[in-house]
Amino acid sequence: MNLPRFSGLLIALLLAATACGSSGSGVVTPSLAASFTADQPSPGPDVVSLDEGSKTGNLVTVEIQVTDISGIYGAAFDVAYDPAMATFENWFSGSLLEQGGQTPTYQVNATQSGQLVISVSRQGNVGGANAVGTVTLIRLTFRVTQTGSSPISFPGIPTLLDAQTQPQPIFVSDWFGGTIVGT
Amino acid sequence: MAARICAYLACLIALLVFSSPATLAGNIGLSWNGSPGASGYRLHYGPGPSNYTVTVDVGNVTQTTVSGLTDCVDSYFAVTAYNVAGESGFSQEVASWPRPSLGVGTPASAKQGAQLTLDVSGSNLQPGAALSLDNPNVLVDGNPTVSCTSIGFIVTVEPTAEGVRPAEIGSVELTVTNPNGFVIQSSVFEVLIEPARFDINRTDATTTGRLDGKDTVWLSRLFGVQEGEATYDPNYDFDGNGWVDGEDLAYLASGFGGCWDGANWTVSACPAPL
Repeated sequence: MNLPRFSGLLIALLLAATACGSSGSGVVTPSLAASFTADQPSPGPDVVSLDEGSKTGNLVTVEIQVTDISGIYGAAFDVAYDPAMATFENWFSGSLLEQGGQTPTYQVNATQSGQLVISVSRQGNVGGANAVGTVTLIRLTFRVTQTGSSPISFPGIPTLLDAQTQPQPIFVSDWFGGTIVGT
Repeated sequence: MAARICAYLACLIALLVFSSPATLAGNIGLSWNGSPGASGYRLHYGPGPSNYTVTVDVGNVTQTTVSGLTDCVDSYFAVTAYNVAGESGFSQEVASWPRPSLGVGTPASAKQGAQLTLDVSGSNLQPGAALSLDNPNVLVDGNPTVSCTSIGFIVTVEPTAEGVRPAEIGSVELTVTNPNGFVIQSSVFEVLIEPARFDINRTDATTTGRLDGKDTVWLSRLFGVQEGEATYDPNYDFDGNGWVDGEDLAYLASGFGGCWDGANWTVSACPAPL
């Protein structure tokens, strides 16, 4: 008995749908693509901002950058993100506080969901570093877990600190965040 | 001939008491000058002057250790020398308590900043005993209370105020010197770190009560500074070893991102994310 044409087409569609995700079926599983959009893609002086670094698949690296600020000995700040949108994966060093061959201390506490507590600091009796133009302080890698978008921001009172014996806050006009996107 | 040898031996014996090793509590060490011509010695001791209830032939040696003595009272000792010609008279008599011993302290530990009464058990501790601790920032306040089996004293573990050199963490050795000259030493107490001290940057209201980058940057700035240098700050020397060093950074790192819960720095004590 010959099946009606549209039934055959329906059967073919159903077979294709059930084949999604199964190995050897030749059908690629749709996957998330991560990206990051900076609130301030062209930061001016005296600014800390986020920018997109590298990305692959559902991973995106966000760079915390400093533009035209001098005498930076250390940085203390939190980064807030939506844990329903992304998970924090890892951090990587930036070049800013490594000027002059210094080996800064990096601390990233990720135990509280949706919030990172971060410290980057030089050590000992050395001067601060100068961000001439835009220089990266630290890199954070996130994994997007769903489609959509949500902000990444600096809550509380983020601070850059100078090289005094008791380091004091340095003037920063703005701390710009951005938006992490999953598509 | 035999009588002259015996008389000669008796004149030369002088009995000395010395403290024996720590494992021989309730014991005492004795030594004496040797007598020429002696082939051996006998030790005599007992509970009263010239009241010797025990005699021990120790052979041809000039020192020995006596065990099983009654604690907290004098025992009396004398020695005779002998050879084939006979035995000398008694040497000069000496009296002594057994050597002292020290046991555990109660409490066994305390945090920096504490003031407490420390009771240390022991034996043969004599009233009037002097004591000292090997940690210069753990202070003994007032006079100790000493009984045969314990010694009690008030202890202050620094720092009790900002800017005071902290006591170094770790075991503390007590030295007790009895009026009879016996000295005993033992670790009786441990200084523990006080985590509340880690919050060194309290000038910023937003960081008080939480360990964060503002504390790390402040500590890092003084990294490598030693006690005696102008910039040394005892508030940053968490373990009290006289340096602002990697161990202090590690202590701060262990609680980094946490808030004070009354005993430690924990993230669970922090308010919900901002």
